[in-house]
Amino acid sequence: MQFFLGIGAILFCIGLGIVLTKRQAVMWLVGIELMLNAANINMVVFSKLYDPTNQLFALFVMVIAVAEACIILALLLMLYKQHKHTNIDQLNELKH
Amino acid sequence: MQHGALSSFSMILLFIIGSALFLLGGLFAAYLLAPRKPNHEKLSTYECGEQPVGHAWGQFNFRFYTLALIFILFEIETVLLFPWAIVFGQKELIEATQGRWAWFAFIEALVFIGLLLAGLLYAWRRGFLDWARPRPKVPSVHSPVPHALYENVNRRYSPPSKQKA
Amino acid sequence: MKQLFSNPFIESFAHRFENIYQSVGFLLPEAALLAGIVLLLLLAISTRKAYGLRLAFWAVAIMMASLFAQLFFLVGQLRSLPDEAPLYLMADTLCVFHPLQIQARIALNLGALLFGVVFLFELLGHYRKESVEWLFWALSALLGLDLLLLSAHFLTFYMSFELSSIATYFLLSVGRQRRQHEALMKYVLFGAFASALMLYGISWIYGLAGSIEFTQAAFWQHLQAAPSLWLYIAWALFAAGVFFKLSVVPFHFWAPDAYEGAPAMSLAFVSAIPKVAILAFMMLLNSRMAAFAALQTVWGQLLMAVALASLLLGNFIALRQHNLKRLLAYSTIAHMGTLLLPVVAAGYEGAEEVFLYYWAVYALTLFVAFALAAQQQIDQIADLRRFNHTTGAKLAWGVVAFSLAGLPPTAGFLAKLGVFVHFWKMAASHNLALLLWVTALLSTAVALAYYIKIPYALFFKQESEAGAPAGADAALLPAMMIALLLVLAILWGYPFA
Repeated sequence: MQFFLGIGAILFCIGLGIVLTKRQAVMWLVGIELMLNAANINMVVFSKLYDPTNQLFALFVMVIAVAEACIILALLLMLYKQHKHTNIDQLNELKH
Repeated sequence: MQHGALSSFSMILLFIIGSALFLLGGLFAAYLLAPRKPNHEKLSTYECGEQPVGHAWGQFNFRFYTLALIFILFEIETVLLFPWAIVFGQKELIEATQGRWAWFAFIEALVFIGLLLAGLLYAWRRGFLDWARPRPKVPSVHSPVPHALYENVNRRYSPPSKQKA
Repeated sequence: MKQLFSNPFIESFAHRFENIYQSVGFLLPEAALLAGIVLLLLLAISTRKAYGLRLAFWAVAIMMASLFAQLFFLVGQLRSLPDEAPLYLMADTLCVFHPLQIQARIALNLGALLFGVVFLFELLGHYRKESVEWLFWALSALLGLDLLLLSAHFLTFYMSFELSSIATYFLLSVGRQRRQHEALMKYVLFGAFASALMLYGISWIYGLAGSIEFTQAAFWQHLQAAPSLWLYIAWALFAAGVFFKLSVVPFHFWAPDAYEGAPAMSLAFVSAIPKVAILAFMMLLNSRMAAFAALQTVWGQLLMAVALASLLLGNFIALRQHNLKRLLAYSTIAHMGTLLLPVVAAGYEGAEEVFLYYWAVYALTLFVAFALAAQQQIDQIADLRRFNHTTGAKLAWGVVAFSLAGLPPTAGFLAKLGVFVHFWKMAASHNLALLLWVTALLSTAVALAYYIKIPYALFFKQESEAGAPAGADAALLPAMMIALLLVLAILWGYPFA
C-alpha cells in the first residue's frame, strides 16, 4: 500500500514541478493531468482499505479531467490562432 | 471445475491469451500458405481505401481537433455507464428493493443518455460536426472597362488554334 | 454461478436506496433548475440561427420561470424546517439541510434573478448575440453551486464544484476579444491547477479519515486522531481549490487579469454569485467541526492567516491601481478577506446574518459598479471624467464608492459595522483574532484612500465642456434603483441583534 501511495506522491510532485517550472500551456495541462491521476491512485488505494465503492470517485475524476482538458485545448486553439504561440509568460498584454 | 479455481480476472487473462493465439495462428497460417507476389500497391499502408498521403507524424489539419474533442468527451462520458451496468438489472438488488430499483436505475440512465444526446444534437445543429470546407474565394474586380472589351482583346490576340476551339 | 453481491452489501444497498428514494422529493429546487437548463438547450437546438431577439426573450423567460420555480420550492423547504430542530436535518447521506444552507441557496437564486431582470432590460436596449449560451451557463453555474451547498459527501462536493467552475469558464468566454482569451486562459489554467490540488487534498483526507462523508461524526473523529503534519498538508491542499474560487491571497493571481479582460456582465456574475455558496459551505464545515477543538484550531488558523494576507495585499495594492476593473479586482480580494471574518467566527451567535447581509450588500454594489462601467466602456478611473454623466449616474457611482468603502450613508457601512461588532466577540479572547480585527479595521481606513478616487474624478475633475455625453442606457435604470436601495437600507437601522 505504501508503494502505491508513494507512486501517487511521486506523480503528484512531478505534476506540481511541471506546473511550477514550465511555461507552455500544454505542459501545464500535462502537469494537471498527472496531479489528477495521483489523486486517483490515492483514491483507489484508500478505497481498497476502507470502502470499495469509493473507487467510483476515480471514474468521476477521469470524466472531469477530460472535460477540463477539452476546455483547455479548445482555448489553446483559439489562443494559437490569435497569438501564434501558447507561452503563458508571453501573454502579458493585460499588465501595464 | 472447482468453484473459485479461476478468479474472474484470470478468466480475462485466458481470453487475452486465447485471442492473441488465435490472431497469431491466423497470421502464421497465412504466412505459410499464401502466395507472395508483392507490388507497389500491395506494399503501401492500408488507409480505408484512401491513397496514403504524407507521414503519420505530420501535422494534422486543426479541423480534426474540434471533432476529436467532441468525440473524446462523449466517449469518456460513457465510462460512467459501466458502474451503472454492473448494478442495473441484478435480480438480488431488485428483489431487495421490491422492484423499484430497476425502474429507478432505468430512468436515471435515460436521463443521463438523454442529456448527452441533447448535447450532441446541439453540436450538430451548430455545425461543429460538419466538415468545414474551405470556401473558394472568387476574386471580383470592379473596373470601369466593360467586360466585353476584354473579351474582344482576348479574341484578337490569342493564337489562332485556340480560336477554333 | 457465483453470487455477484454479498449479503451485507445487498442489505446496505437496500437501506441506501430507500434513503435516496425517499429524498428525491427534496431535490425539487434542483429539478426546477435542471429543467430550465434542458429547456434552454432544447431551445438552442430547435433553431438553426444561434441568436435573435425573439430567441433571447424566450431564453430569458425560461430562465426566469425556472428560477421562480426554484425559489418557490426553496421557500417551501425553509418553512418546513422545524423550529426546534437539531441543527442538521439529514435527508440522506447525499444531501443535508440546515437553515443557513437554504438561506444561501435562496441568496444564490435571488442573485441570479437580478441578472435575469437586468438581462431583460438590456434586451430592450440592444440584444446580445450570445444570450442563450450566457443564460445556459449561468443556470449551470447556479445548479453547481446549489448542489455544492447540498453536498454531504466529497464526491458530490467535487462534482458540483467542477460543474460550477466549468460553467464559469464558459460564462467568461462569451464574447470574442483578443484580450479576453488571455484572461480566460489564465483563469482556466489556474482553476484547473487549484482543483487538482484540492482533489489530491481530498484523497489524503479520505486516507486520514477513512470516509468521505463529512456529515458523519466518525469522519471528524478519525480526522482528529490523524497525525497533525499530514492533517495540515491535506487541509491546506483541500483549501487551495476553495481559496481559488474565493480569490483570496495565495490564489489571487488570476483575479486582476481576469477582471480586466472579461466582459463586465459575466464578471459581475462570477465575482459575486459563487462566493456566497463557497463561504456558506465553509461556515457549515466550520460548525460541523465545532465539537473537535484540535481540528478547528488548524482550520481557524489557516483561515485567519489567509484573511489577514488578503486584507493587507488587496487594500495596499489597490492603492496603486489606475484601471477601474483592476481596482475592483483588488477590492474584491480585500472584501473576501473581510467576509472570512464571520466564517472564522462561525461558532459565535449571529454569524449567519452578518455574513449574508455583508454578502448581499457587496454583491449589489459590485453589480451596480459593473453595470455602470460596462455601459460606458470605462477602463481607467481617469476616464470617468471624460464623460458628461447624468446626475443619476454620478450619484450611483458615488454610492458604489461609499458602499465599497463602508462609509455611513450607505448599507456598506452597516455591513462592515456588523462584521466588526460580531468579530469582536471572538477577538476579545483570542490573540490572532485580535490582530486580524485590528488589521481589518486599519485596512478599511486605508481603503478610503483609493475608493475616494472614483467620486473625486467624477465630481471635482469633470471636464464638462469637452466631455462626450454618456449614453442613456437600459441597464442604468436598475443600477440606479439598486444604488438607491443601498442608501435607503440605512433607514431600517442596524439590522443585527
